[in-house]
Amino acid sequence: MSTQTGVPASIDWDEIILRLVAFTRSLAKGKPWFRGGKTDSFLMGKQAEDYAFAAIGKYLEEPEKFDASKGELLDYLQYNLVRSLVGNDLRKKENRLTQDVFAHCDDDNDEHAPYLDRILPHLEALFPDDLDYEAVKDYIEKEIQGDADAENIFLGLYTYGMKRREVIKEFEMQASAFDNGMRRLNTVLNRASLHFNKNIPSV
Amino acid sequence: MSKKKNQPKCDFVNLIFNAAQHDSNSKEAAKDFLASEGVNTEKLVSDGLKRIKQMQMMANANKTEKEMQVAETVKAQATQWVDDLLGNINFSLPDLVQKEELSMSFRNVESLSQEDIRNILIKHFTLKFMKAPDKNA
Repeated sequence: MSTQTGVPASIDWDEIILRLVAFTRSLAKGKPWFRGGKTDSFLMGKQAEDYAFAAIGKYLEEPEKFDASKGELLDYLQYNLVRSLVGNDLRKKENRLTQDVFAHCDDDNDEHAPYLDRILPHLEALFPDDLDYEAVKDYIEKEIQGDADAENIFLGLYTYGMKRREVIKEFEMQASAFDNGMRRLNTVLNRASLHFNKNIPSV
Repeated sequence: MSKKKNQPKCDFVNLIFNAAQHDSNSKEAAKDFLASEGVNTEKLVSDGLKRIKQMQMMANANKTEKEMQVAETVKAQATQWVDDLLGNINFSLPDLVQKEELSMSFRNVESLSQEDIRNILIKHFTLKFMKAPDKNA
């Protein structure tokens, strides 16, 4: 077992709470394409906060399972949280949209991969396969047309799969310009979600 | 994934993930985002810390309970081990005391009853098995 597993020397729980709840809410709220018209149905009647604290509770029960060589504690908590969301979704009788990620995804065989890299395959399971993602892309591109920062951020994140710091470097942006542009792009994403939700059968 | 990748979907989900990461990129960014969602961040943190404290106490209690269960199991193994040892016709207490370095525990051996000897050995082997559970000899 790695010597880096277990409880970090000190944990800033204030920061963990704020960032984990923000991550969960951002992921879950206002994104109806998860589940047709019922945005929150996959939360199984719980609040986004409940998933955040369930992930923290799971860590407190078995802190030795956290391996700091694979990322920060927040990454580990996010990874477990997304797995819980997918797991709950799979158990829903009426679920017809989620892929069986545990059957198709070999992510968990890759134990050595960083936690952040292991989140995406699970997250993909929460999105329907039959949505026209090319049309979503076209919609977003049209909506951000003329907003240079948002266009560059979209190009960097979507087309080239860059991270925040890479986008900032590549497009020679100020961090504040990235943050503001990302905020506007997020607004467009929420608008796109509502727009395309009309075409998804409600479950 | 063994399933054929839907690349536009993967790219899109990556974008959604990055958006969520952006909203939680730092303590301040998370605070701003949550405030914009109408969340009382001070209450969230204050209630959350209490919740974490309770969960921590519960986790510690569960851990203690598990450790006690393990200790009971190991004690039963040690008791069986000692009873088998004492029942062995070739058993020699002086040899065992030397092998297990127990001279301190048995310095007044002449004043110990059979039951005292048994209890000392059970205690010794319980501790020994707990330190090295696979080396019961």
